Amino acid sequence: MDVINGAGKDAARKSKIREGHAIERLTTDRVVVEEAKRLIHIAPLEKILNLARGYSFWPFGFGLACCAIEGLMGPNDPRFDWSRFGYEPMRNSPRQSDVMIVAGTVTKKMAPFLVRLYEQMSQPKWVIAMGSCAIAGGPFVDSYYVVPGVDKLVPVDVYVPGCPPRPDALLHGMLLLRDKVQGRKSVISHA
Amino acid sequence: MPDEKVAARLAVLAAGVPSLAVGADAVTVDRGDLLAVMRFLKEDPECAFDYLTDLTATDYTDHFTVVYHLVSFVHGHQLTVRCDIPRDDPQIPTVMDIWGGADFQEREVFDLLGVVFTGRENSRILLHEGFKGHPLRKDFEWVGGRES
Repeated sequence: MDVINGAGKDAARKSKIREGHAIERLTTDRVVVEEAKRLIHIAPLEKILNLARGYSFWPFGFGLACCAIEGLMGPNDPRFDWSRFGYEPMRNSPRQSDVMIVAGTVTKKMAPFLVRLYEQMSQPKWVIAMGSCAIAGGPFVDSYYVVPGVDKLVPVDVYVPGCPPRPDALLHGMLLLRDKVQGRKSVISHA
Repeated sequence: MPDEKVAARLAVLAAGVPSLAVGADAVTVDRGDLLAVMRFLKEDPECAFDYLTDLTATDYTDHFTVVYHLVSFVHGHQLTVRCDIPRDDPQIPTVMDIWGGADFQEREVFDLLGVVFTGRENSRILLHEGFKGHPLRKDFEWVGGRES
């Protein structure tokens, strides 16, 4: 039964679920029970909200370097067109967006502003670290003024490797994030 | 070599400024005479270097060299002026009063090399105010960054 999806390891709760669909406690009419089982799923409302969230991220572009071209401009154009996945409205305000795409090198002077903008985003919010620089400092990791990875500042949900990654790679990252948000089994990487 | 007209004017100027030396690709001058030379280069109608395209500095480990790249929109010629300053006393007068555009470039040179421009406020422009040291100096050593 779908109710089990995402449930905790609490044994008592599991056994209660195994007792059957809630409709069975109300009637024994087989037709009603079968129809109710087919149509009515009991799950947290959050699951439905997550379904909507996963299909309509509003990205907050944090373009800091060349990754911004591949990650923020590329996917918008008709060739890659991330609006077909529902990720169309690029927001330039953190208050209107779900997922921050950090595309580029984070310098120490930029770091406080990145954290402030992240904190201004409303919950729930996610972060995609795009490109070598945002993941771990990239070729500039030994520089005196580069933050070695944006995960030193804010929690990162998806890492998209590349220097820079192609727009397809970012789309793949967005789809991984969708899977994560909708509670399916997340895949770390594909071959 | 500087433009012929400019070279002639520089020869006149060098008579009064002993430290001025006209080289193959640049003019060198002591920092004590810098302001007088720069003002002449801008205000003399034959030179008329009305635009400072670039102001940089180099660390040669025993001294700094501050380099000024000048362009004349009136005559279309250019000139490079170099000024050596000792490493233990890295001070040089500001040219902001002559070319206002020197502001940010002098701040950058101060920020990255620690050259102090006298006659103006020196503040960092690229790095944050709490940063220790001047990273483009050859003896700048920095520990940190990636996790070991």
